[in-house]
Amino acid sequence: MALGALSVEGVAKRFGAAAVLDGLSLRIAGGSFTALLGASGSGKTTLLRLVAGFEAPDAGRILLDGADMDGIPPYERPVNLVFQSYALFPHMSVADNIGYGLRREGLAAGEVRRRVSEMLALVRLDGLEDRKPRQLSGGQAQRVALARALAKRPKLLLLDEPMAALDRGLREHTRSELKRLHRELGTTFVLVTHDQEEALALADRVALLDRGHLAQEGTPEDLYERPASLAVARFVGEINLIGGRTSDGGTVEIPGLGSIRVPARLPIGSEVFVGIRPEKIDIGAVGWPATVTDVAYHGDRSVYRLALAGGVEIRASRPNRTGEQAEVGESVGVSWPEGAALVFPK
Amino acid sequence: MSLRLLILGLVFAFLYGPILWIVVFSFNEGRLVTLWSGFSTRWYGELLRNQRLMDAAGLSLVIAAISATLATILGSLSGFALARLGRFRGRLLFAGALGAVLTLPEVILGLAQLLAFVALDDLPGWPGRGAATIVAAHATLGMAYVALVVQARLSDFDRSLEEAALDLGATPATVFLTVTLPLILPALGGGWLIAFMLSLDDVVLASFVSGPGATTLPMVVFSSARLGLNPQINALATLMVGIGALAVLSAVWLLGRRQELSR
Repeated sequence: MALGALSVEGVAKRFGAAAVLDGLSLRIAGGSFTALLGASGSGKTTLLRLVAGFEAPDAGRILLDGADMDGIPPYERPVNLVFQSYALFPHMSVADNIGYGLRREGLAAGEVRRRVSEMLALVRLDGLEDRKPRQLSGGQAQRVALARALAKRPKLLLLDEPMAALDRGLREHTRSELKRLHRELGTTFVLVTHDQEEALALADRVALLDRGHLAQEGTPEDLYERPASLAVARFVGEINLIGGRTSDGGTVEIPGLGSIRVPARLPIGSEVFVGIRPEKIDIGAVGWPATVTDVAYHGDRSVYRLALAGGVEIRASRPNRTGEQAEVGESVGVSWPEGAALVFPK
Repeated sequence: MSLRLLILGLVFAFLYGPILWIVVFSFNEGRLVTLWSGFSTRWYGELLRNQRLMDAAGLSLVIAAISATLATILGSLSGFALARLGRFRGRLLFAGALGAVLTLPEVILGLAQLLAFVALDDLPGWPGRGAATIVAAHATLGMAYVALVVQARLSDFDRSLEEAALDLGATPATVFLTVTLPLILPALGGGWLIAFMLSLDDVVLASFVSGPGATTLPMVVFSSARLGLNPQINALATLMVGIGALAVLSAVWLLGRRQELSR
């Protein structure tokens, strides 16, 4: 197994009266690229600070490659963190920033220089070693922060909202850079983010935190296609939710609309939500009769607001491949593949 | 427009006119301090040959340097306590005690310190009133200013810089020496200069707590001004204005540097 496996076992952390983490357990495989996804207040940043060693858990254990991190200060953990603000030392040059951690290890000056230029080449910043942080652009500062953390050759690299301070054009580029670094180094990357798109696009595993609990852990497809709960379905991507009641194991009765076949098995007579992702919905001649009440044009796709019988309203997203669009007021048929419908207990 | 310039001119004349007067007349040939009789630097020469004034100036500089250094050490520790230790027991009392030094009239402060030093006179090994007690009095005043400056600098200090250093393998002591100290050094330097100038131009505290052996420069100036104006004092004042301006400009530059650094 690859190095850098993180195991969080029943970790709890309170700040005053507020329980930020409430018995959280999570396993992160060595060498993986895992995103800790969650809204603000979900506890993701607290978990990050616990792993880095800036806070101590009130209960539970944090193990890195099987070694209990309890009582080990941040400066002795084989874990490095890229701060959201980058936290570059303003009084040091780029080279001194990157070499800071190496000098702390007592490496000889020549070895430090060699490793620093190696890191500069890795993040493609050759030639900027003598700049001061204030002379760097946002993207350059971020790469210096990355190089500084990676120079220590950590088993585990923590990234705290690394894209938050970058503008849109730069994010796309930085994402592919992060993926490249992860591929080349094989270090475990743990990315903390509130941006679900970023988590889905970057990580090979996503752990969704919800108010101090682990809501779901899995591949990006698991979270999007097979959300474990209503909260996960709502947080990751968009979803239409239609209230109904199960009439037998395989169908849900929706007032005014009729019965919908669903894949999940739930006890008969239970109140449920049927969830359908907007892009799974087909608009055509067949299916449930509906009226288009609004069309929002997004260029590559259009989002339609559709009124169905029984006051049910849903949103459908269709790619604009042929230029044909349904218009407001048009009567259409709405359908979706049977497997696309998700069922959640109310 | 011309009215604004006029008002500006009047304000500056009001602020700096008397000082300019002294500077100009320090180069006066004659003995009279109100009548211009030609340019000369003779008073500077006489000043340098005046052993009493030179001794006082030397003592003042030594006292200012030592008390400013003590004030910087004690004031930095106080500033750290106020900015970093959270809401410890007695924090309000401590902050209030420091603030009191800043707001109390110097006459009261001087009197209080005199009474304290008199009470300590019976202590075996106590040096008695003189240069040492002036240093103690000035360090007390100076540390309150330094604490204020250091606390302000630390309160807008980005703590993630220290966390980053810890994360990169630096022990807390190394973090302080390699990250915290270099970044607050300008504030410490500015605080030292403020304390130095406070000590150099203080006449009230020094008059209260000094003994017969120790006379600082401001004390000499003050007493000689009462005996009659002497052009040597003008020359001395001009030099002190020069030193003071240099110190203030340095302090402003040092304290202003943090904006540039923290960007």
